Amino acid sequence: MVRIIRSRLFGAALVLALFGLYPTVQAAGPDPSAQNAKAMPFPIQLGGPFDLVDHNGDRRTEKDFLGRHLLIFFGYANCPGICSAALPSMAAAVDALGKGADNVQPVLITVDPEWDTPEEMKRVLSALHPRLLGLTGDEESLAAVREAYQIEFSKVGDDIFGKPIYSHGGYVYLMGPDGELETVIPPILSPSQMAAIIRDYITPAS
Amino acid sequence: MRPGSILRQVLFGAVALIALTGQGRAAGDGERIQVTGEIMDTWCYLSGVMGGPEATLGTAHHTCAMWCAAGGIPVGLRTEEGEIYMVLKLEGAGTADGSPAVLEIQSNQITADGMAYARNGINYLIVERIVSNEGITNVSHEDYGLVPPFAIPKGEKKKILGSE
Repeated sequence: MVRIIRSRLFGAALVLALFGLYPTVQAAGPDPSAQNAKAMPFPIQLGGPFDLVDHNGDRRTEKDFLGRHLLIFFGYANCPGICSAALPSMAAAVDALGKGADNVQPVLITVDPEWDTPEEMKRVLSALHPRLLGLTGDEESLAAVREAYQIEFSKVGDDIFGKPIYSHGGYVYLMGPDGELETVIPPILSPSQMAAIIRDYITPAS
Repeated sequence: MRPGSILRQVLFGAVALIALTGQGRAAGDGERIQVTGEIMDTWCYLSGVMGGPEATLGTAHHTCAMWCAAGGIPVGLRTEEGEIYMVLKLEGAGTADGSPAVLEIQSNQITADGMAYARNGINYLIVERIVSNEGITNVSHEDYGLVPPFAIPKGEKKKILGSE
């Protein structure tokens, strides 16, 4: 069953990648008249302080990222499911931002600290994007950040190599320079669509 | 499936998910709504990878929709008019994606009371209360079979559907 799930998600991601068939939300470019509405913060309480370790082994808290936009995804480095679509999309979206990408930090916060050691996260994430940063930590610290973002996850089985497979949240969270939630982004969007949304928030309204 | 057909499905999905911001939906603090529709698999519905969007709803796609939801793909609520709300949270659960609560109602026809938000051309819904749940009412496998066909192993298929 687990293998079927994995095959199914891999298959979907592969087909999407081959045909470029991410769901399309808006075929047209941004509507300048809707700029303010589009860039409004989401009025729900998500996010908060965290105290984690990055994939270089350095301690990282939310304060380290103040002044920048954080693009946060919860998952695990070797996830064969939604992460295998969302993380490459996040990476490609950052590239699509061009110069604006300097102020956007893409981050994966692991739900699997046992397998996601800093070394393993660095190995996997660096291959996806040089700026994609993995964050891990002890169980207590990770539980705190999951609670702040209302992330649920559960183990659904093991793969054929004995590694755990988790069911977990799939939204991408864009946090502002003040550490507050700006918006949530469905992981099913294409990189260009993700980039268009991010751009609305990182580009000062004229 | 021919690329042209796939493209049509993607465009259908695009139209279905296009913002309601231009249709009076409050973009600011959100709007309390009560909405009826089917909980659905957003990826397969919107991408067109599984064929026509109608084939990715109801009983035809239920098994695959469960896989997708378990894998973290956010669910949506599709109204009879074809509007789609990305479900952010469900009553009694944390975020709606990857939550066991979603699996309980996948493909079900529900009436939800909650807050709707329009952001970035996408409708989001925080379900505060499921007012009613009629279960799976869309018997789409009678028209489409199983989507995808390998969703249920052959032997089991006969037991469940009464035919191969």
